Amino acid sequence: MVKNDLSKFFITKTEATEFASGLSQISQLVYQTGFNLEQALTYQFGIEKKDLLIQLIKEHEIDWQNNAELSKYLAQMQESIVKMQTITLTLAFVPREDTLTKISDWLSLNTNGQMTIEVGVDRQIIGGAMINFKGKYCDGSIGSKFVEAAYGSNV
Amino acid sequence: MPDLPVVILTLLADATIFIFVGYYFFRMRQKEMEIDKREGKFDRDYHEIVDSALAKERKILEDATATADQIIAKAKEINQTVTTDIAKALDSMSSETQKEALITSRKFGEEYQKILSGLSRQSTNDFEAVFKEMKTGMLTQIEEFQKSTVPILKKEVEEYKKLKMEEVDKKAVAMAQKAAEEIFNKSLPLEDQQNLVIAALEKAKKEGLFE
Repeated sequence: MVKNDLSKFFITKTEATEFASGLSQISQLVYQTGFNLEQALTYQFGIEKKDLLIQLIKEHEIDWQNNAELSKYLAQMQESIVKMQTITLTLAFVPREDTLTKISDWLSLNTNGQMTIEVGVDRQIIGGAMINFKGKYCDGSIGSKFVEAAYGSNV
Repeated sequence: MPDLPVVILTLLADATIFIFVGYYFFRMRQKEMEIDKREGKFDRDYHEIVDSALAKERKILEDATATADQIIAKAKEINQTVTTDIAKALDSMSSETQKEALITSRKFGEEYQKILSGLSRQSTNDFEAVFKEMKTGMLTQIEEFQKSTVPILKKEVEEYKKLKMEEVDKKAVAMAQKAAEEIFNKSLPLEDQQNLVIAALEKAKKEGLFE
């Protein structure tokens, strides 16, 4: 399978689902008469993402004039998105784009493989995050530290 | 021409009829006069009787009125006398009854006082006895209570105290946490929030969450 760095296209699980849906729609258009990949990508994802995708296709030396090869590549991309791991983060605030990017960058640098982020908000945790990944859990919130400090080591 | 004897006979017969009718009328007149005479007598007698009856009636009425007046006057007199007598009797009865009531009341009060004094003495004695018994019983119960129940109660109070203290602690922490939550959420800059999230991820990495 082709290894793709898709972190430029999406960060959260919702965005990943939307991106996969967009790829699916383009895959259906590939065999139509007069199909134009650049136009279809621009229409589906915008110019910026279109350029990034073209660049990615070129990096993988895909002949985009070859409909069969292009279709196969798009299918592989969708499959890799579906198989992608999801990390669930519970934060004390609603994260902005730059926060999500910062988290995504950290995850890219510090973990093996790309993953999507699913975000929940709970103001009671005060700060930090509660993390769930592959069925494992880590409480890195300030709220838990606060309770721990208040009750001592008994809690 | 008719015969003379027949004529004479006819004349005689006619004369006889005239005489007979005349006599009859004469007798009728006599009887009528007799009847008138009797009628006049009867009328006079009748008037006499009626006048006499009326006079008697008037006399009777006058007598009756006079008698009735006398009776009424007498009755009034009697009534007055009786009323006065009854009033006097009632006054007398009233004062007598009042005196009797006073005497009876006094006697009853004295009797009641005597009975009460007797009862009071008896009740006081009974009460003292009962009170002594109760006092002894209560002292025994208090001793037993102190020996058996007080330690259990002390233990239960301690447990309750501990439980309540824990509840208070929890509430205090929850309140402080709520306060901290509001303060941090309002005052913590975004960059610090982001750094805290990254710190949490670092902690997760150290704990081997991503392996």
